[in-house]
Amino acid sequence: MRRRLPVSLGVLGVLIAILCLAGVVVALLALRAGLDDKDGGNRIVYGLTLNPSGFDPHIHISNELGIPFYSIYDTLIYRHPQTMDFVPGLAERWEMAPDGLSWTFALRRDVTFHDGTPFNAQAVAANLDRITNPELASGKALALLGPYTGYTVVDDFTITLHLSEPYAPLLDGLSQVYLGMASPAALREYSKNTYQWHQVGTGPYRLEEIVPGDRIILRRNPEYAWGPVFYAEATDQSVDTVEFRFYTDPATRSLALESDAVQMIGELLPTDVELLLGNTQLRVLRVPIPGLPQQFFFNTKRAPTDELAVRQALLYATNRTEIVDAVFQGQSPVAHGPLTATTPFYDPAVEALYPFDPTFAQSLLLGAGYGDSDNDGIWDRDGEPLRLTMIFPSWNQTPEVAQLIQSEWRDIGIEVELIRVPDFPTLRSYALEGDFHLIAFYDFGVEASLLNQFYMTGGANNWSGFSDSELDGWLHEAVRQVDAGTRAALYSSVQQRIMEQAVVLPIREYVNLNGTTARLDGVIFSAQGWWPLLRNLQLRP
Amino acid sequence: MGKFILQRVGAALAVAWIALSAAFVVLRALPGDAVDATLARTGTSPAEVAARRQALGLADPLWRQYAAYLGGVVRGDLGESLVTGQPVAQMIGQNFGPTAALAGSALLVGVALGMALGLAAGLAPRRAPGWLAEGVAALALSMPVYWTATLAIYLFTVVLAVLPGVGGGSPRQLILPAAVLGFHTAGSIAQVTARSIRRTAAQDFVRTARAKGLGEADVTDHILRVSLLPVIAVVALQLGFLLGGTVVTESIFVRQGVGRLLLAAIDNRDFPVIQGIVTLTALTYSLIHALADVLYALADPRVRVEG
Repeated sequence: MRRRLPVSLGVLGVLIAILCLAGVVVALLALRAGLDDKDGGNRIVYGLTLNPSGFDPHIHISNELGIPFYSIYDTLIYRHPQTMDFVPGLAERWEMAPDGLSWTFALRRDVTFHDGTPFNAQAVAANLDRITNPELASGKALALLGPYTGYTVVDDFTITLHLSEPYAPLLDGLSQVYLGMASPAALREYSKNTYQWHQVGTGPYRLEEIVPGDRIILRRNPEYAWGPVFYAEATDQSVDTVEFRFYTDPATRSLALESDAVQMIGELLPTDVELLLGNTQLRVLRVPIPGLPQQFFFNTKRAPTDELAVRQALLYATNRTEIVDAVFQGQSPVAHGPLTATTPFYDPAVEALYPFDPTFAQSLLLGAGYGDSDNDGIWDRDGEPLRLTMIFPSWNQTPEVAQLIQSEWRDIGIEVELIRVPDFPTLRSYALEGDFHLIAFYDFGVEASLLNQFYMTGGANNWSGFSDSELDGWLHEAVRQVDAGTRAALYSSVQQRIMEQAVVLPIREYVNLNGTTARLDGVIFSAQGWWPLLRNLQLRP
Repeated sequence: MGKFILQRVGAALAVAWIALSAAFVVLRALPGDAVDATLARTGTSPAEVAARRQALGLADPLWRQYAAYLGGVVRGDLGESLVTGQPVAQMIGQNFGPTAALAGSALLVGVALGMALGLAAGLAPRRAPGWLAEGVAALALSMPVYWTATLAIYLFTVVLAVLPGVGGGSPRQLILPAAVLGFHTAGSIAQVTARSIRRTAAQDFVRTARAKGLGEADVTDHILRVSLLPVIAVVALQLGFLLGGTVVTESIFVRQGVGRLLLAAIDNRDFPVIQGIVTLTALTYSLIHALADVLYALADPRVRVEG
């Protein structure tokens, strides 16, 4: 018998080697860590909350892409974040023709793109050409142009846009990042698919690097001197570099903020806010988002929600204050109508409708012929129990909202089946099949004409199937009228009709809960609510 | 041996083809496509949505889409993303490095920790180190990655603040995700190791060795030589767990990688990207299994094949 070492190298040797290797790797990692970052200047990391499906504002649709790119581009017109009024951007002045069929823009003469290309009417024309090219398959930019038919370059710094019919929302469209002005030289150099990695605008920040799924890095544009009136002057405390990263998992956002991995982040969980407010190193900002509230559409084509009395009863039976307090920790206002209170043309008259009144809800149901004939706690009519199906996605605490509604409605004898879907295509397939009584869906925007796609007969997103020719008329007319007073009156009628007809169950006005380090001042968001004015950020040492 | 390797590689390719075809069919059974996920959401008119669908080839009959896709794959072309227009191969290429780094370092942690725990549990059963090791292994197996990860982030980046907060690709930011994923990988490696050691220790040749008066260290050596062989197979199996685990881990730790690419692609119904990742994953997984088979054959003369 050959003599061995106490434990031979054969097996344990391998183990020890693995352990050593692991140790060496960790040590190397720790050593190399000293080498990464910091390249001088003020720098912040900004946490984005979803990984947009694409980054080209002319093509892609997400609100999230505007968080970085609102500062890469300038728009012809801006909306003032406080007054919501239109103020000059790349266009100094604009004028509508008396017939409403064309708008003429006088452009600034002192603007250059990040690549040195001068900004002029030909540059605007190149952008319009790109957006309207069917090859590009623009998702939002093209829609924002409405009945646009073409342009005329009047001179180097004057351009006229032509429309097939008057279109009041045009100015709002032109103030959004999706119609940001890109360098014609860069548009020529890159293809429709590759431009998104090499975007060049005239904005206060330049795109330095995009690594899809990992980071977007912006650097301050030192030449920038043509910002809108609400942009601050650059100072020593201006942020030189902004690095965006994707915090798609909501639970880690507050942790990232607390560990100083990010200095600014959006979409914090309402349940985390209380804790963060106790930390003097941090701040929480509640930013209301104009547009539609977080809400559920009733299916007006399927029994029993095709009956007005049933829909109204469901609105009376919903304790929205309780939902907002329990699910959103009181961090959002209760919603009362099809538009949120910060949206221009909002009509507060809807607030008086549908106070929480379960007794009245039951009397409405009694009037519609319902009652608990078999004493099982669930009301019924002609042997049919009052049973509803509710479809909702997993984001924005909608599942918790749905559960509360289910329990509130059970108290007055209505049974609700909850169906939670994982993503938008699944949600949409339920909507198209009409296989629901209530479905959660909403969108954001400053322009009240956002309502058209949801409430007009045959509108692309009219999931409730609602149809009212008078409402269609008002919605159509409000888009053609430029006078603010006329539009306000039309949209008042629209909002009241939608609520009288109980087409939608509004829950809460959407509020983006942003967290920042307390060292960051000048945290202001654009009129659209989502997009920060990076230009105004000031980082104290 | 050459024939054996050829067989294994052939099997790996067949598995990849089956996975690809299954992904192709299942994806199209899901509601919605890339056009629903993007264009239709903004209220674009149904006519334009239909035109876009036509342009992307989503309106073609299924067999034609499949034939076109398979033809591309055979020529090494994985197609283009329906959402960004980027070539799928390029997208996977950009994300492969970070995922490989995470999976590789997690595997290293998992093997080291798993074998250490397994040895302790196997060689010192019914004693304190054994109990402790078994307890840790059970925790690693029973807790979800999601939970441990969130807890670890809170503990190490907020409370103790010894590691940088999550996000990004600095090497120091690899430590926590690799440790968490490695911890969970260690669970089954530890259990298999311990069980295998105990089974071997009960065999006749061990009793004979002891009866012959062999020292305990020599006996242990004999036991380990036999009992650590099955661990090779488990380590290969763990790669499947790791590839799944990276999806969750990458999201929580805000890391770039194939897992997050896959999640986003599923949300957007970006079929070519999903198919590309599934095919690549199946290929990697089965090739590594083939490698494990070969290693096993080399290490254990009993399973060596003729020829």
